Amino acid sequence: MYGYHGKVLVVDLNTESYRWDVVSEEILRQYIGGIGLGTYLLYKYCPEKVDPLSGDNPLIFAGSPLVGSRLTTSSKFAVVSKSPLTGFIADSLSSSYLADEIKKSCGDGLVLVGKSENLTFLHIENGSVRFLDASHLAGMNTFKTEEEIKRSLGSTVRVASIGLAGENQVLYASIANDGGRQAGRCGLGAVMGSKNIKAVAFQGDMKSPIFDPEGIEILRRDLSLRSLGPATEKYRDVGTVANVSLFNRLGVLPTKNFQRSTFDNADKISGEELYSNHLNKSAHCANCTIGCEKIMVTNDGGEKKGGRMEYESLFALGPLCNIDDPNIVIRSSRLCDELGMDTISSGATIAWAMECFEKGILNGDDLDGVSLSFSNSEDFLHILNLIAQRKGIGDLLSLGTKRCSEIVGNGSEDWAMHVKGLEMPGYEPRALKTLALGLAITPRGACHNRSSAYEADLSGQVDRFTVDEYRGDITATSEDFSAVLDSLIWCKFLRKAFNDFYQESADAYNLVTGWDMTPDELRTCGERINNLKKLFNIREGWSRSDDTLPPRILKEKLPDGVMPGAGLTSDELSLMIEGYYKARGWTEDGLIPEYKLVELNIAD
Amino acid sequence: MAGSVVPVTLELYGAIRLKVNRKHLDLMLPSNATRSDIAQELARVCPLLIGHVIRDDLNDITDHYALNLNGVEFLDDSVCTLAPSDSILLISNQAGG
Repeated sequence: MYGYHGKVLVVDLNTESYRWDVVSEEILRQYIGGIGLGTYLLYKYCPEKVDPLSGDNPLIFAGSPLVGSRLTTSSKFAVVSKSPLTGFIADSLSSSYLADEIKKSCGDGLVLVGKSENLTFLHIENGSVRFLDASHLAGMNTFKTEEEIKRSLGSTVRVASIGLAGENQVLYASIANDGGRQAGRCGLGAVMGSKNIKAVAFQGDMKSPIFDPEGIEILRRDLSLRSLGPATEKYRDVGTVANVSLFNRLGVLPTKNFQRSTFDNADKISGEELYSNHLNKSAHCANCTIGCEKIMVTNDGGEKKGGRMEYESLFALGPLCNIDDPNIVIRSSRLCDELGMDTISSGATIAWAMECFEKGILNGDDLDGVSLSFSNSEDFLHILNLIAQRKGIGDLLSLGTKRCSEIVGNGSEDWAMHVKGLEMPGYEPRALKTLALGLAITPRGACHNRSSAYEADLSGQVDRFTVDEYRGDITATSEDFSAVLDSLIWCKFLRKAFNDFYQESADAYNLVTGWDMTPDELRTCGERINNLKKLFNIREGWSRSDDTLPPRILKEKLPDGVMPGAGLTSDELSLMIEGYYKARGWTEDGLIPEYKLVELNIAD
Repeated sequence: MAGSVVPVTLELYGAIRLKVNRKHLDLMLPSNATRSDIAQELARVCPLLIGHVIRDDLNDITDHYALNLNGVEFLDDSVCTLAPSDSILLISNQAGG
């Protein structure tokens, strides 16, 4: 077999045993790899209605056929499980050297089931697993954990690890790899922590040869050249932080817990400002020619701190909490990476608490002297530490906005900015109506990436302030595109460099595997993957009412921006959702009819 | 150019703002302007952007950028009506991230 191994490594932590499970050519061709293969494996290995933080919930690392090809941006992997935040599918992507090492040591993926008795780290070498005591790593941050494991096992191992937040099962804990990259969303670090797994060290030299190495080399050079052109300029030059000033101008920059869509001090933390005064260097993932990573450092005279700065981290730890100090945002982002916590959910949960404080619902008695007022950056780092430690107010905030608001009540559910339990990303849905639909229907919860629906709003393809049922077609199409992108796996930032995405992707796939995938077949794979995600959610209790947006979005009008008074009613959202279900061939209740499962060859 | 001419601000973002080292440029455009008018005036004011943002034939901007009027409406191939104090945003087509 070319491009694949045809097997995944299954590790049972209860019995400290492991085995290879075969994955057939048919399944690999249907689900490709990455998010697609991870979803298939989740459906297979996750028992129905399992507690996400119990040993029975599998934690899956899925590789992809393009890993090892050296095609630009292809060194990526997916982590998939059942989310402790949402109770639905959790899927997250990360990148770099670890992707190659997973494939060389675990075949097409790793499935962790069960729970270790004590804090453990795994050393996996060519499919052979050692279960090692990790008590000396307890409480250690993700950067130091990786360093320590490399010190003990050698610098060639690649490490996935959790920080204190994962150990303490903060529900939005992340999994870190390769010096601070994160599989950030959905609480996968909490799942890893619930298994008492501090880290997994991967190492191997298992081969999955490429069918046509010369063809791949020609494609690699061509794609690399294109990736250095204008189609990726934004990501190469300023990086995603460039969104801040533009989004502010367009009135789509969520500010003060989505109370506003513009930030008065956006210039102080804009991408252009950070680039000019804080940029240390640009960095690349393995086998990437774009280099979107911008390493920003503090310049406030205190201890120098630096780390990757992305738009989503900048928005969530800045405007969302009404914080305009770039040094605080850089320090907060770095601290989240050290503690192993998703920056979006961290910022959003603190923003929810700040609004509770503003409204007098959380007060001094609850806070042990911590100030939760908006704009107060002095206590911000302390609050992040309290969350990871689950101490004081941090214990409540470790649960994420949905559960926090259910516990605190007093109407705070109205400003708990999540969908299905996953906190909202940095896009204002009342002024981006197609994106609003994407956020509402995405299986993993409030996510802009899995649907990519914002592209229609921000390109002029549609009027972003109005709704119609055809947004459903647009969203389903872009969601299928994203599923293919996330399964092969290409980096999203490469997407504009393709002339014909499906044709070129099918060509790349066939050069690697020697198979005869057609562009239409690949398109169907995207549809199949999205249907299987939905099928998993239905199995876990999804109902029509889960596809919605926070009350604030549906009740309150925007006070500012280029279209003050813009809003989104429940009826408008329902119209788009009905259009989406129709485009998918689902029932009016959003269920998948039998014929669709048969058509897509999804075995239940 | 035909008809009355109006002063319009062209707002720059991201890499282009850094390249030009300006947040905006002042353009003089017909009140009924086409994308070609905008491209030609931009080329006159900031020739640095020719070939990069502006097509070599100066008849349009490249596919990698979009033009948006006042943060509300994206400009297509039709004629757009401009008023003094209007702003045109020059936006990368690489949305999101």
